Amino acid sequence: MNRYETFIIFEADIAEEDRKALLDRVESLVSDNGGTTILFDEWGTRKLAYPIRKKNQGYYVRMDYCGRGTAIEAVERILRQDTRILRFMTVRMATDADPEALKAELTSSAQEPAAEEPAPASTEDGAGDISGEAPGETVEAPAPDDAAENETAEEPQSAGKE
Amino acid sequence: MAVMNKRRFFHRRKVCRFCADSKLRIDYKEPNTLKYFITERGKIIPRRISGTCARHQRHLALEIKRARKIALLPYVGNYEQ
Repeated sequence: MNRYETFIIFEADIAEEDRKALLDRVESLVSDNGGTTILFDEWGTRKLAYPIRKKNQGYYVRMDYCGRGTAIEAVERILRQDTRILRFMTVRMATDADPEALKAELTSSAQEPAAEEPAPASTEDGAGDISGEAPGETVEAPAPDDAAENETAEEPQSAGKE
Repeated sequence: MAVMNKRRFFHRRKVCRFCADSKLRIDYKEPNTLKYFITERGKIIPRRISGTCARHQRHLALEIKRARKIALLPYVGNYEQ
């Protein structure tokens, strides 16, 4: 089973019930095709980077699920038919994903507050800087920076000469 | 000849931002990160300018194109400017 992510952009003025009904339908289609929905991530109304069908705003929903190609076909078919959907896009995130493991991971990460995340990350990073890079590289790394600074300082002068 | 020597002198070593900072992810869901790698006109900045390494540039281009598709980044220009 693969892990997929589908972005759905609704028209911003769609009624909430209609949106919910459609998302429920999508979820049932995924499960009918032997897939598992992991989560619906609603981004809410956002400004579009460019107008789509003369609309400047859209309601973004990200759907994370596991399934096979048949599930994608079924989901995309109904998305294509619905005129209130401005755009959708499906991306394969991983192959051979285990939906149960992903769900468990998600609930555990939701329980642990976000504050806990930066602390281990920073220590890992420090360790990574020392051990991850070859010693030669760590010595070398500051050098280009210094050189870059000197060069930027001199750049205007030489540019003037040219 | 003199010019050639000068050029070598102020050649600036560019470092791939994504190699330097492993926490910085290339993801089409984060248009704010990708934004630094496109011009005001919405073009993808070549790696000879941005200094991104080949591997990350490939990844970056893919994610920018994805972000464009779902209207998180513009295909062309910024209408406001």
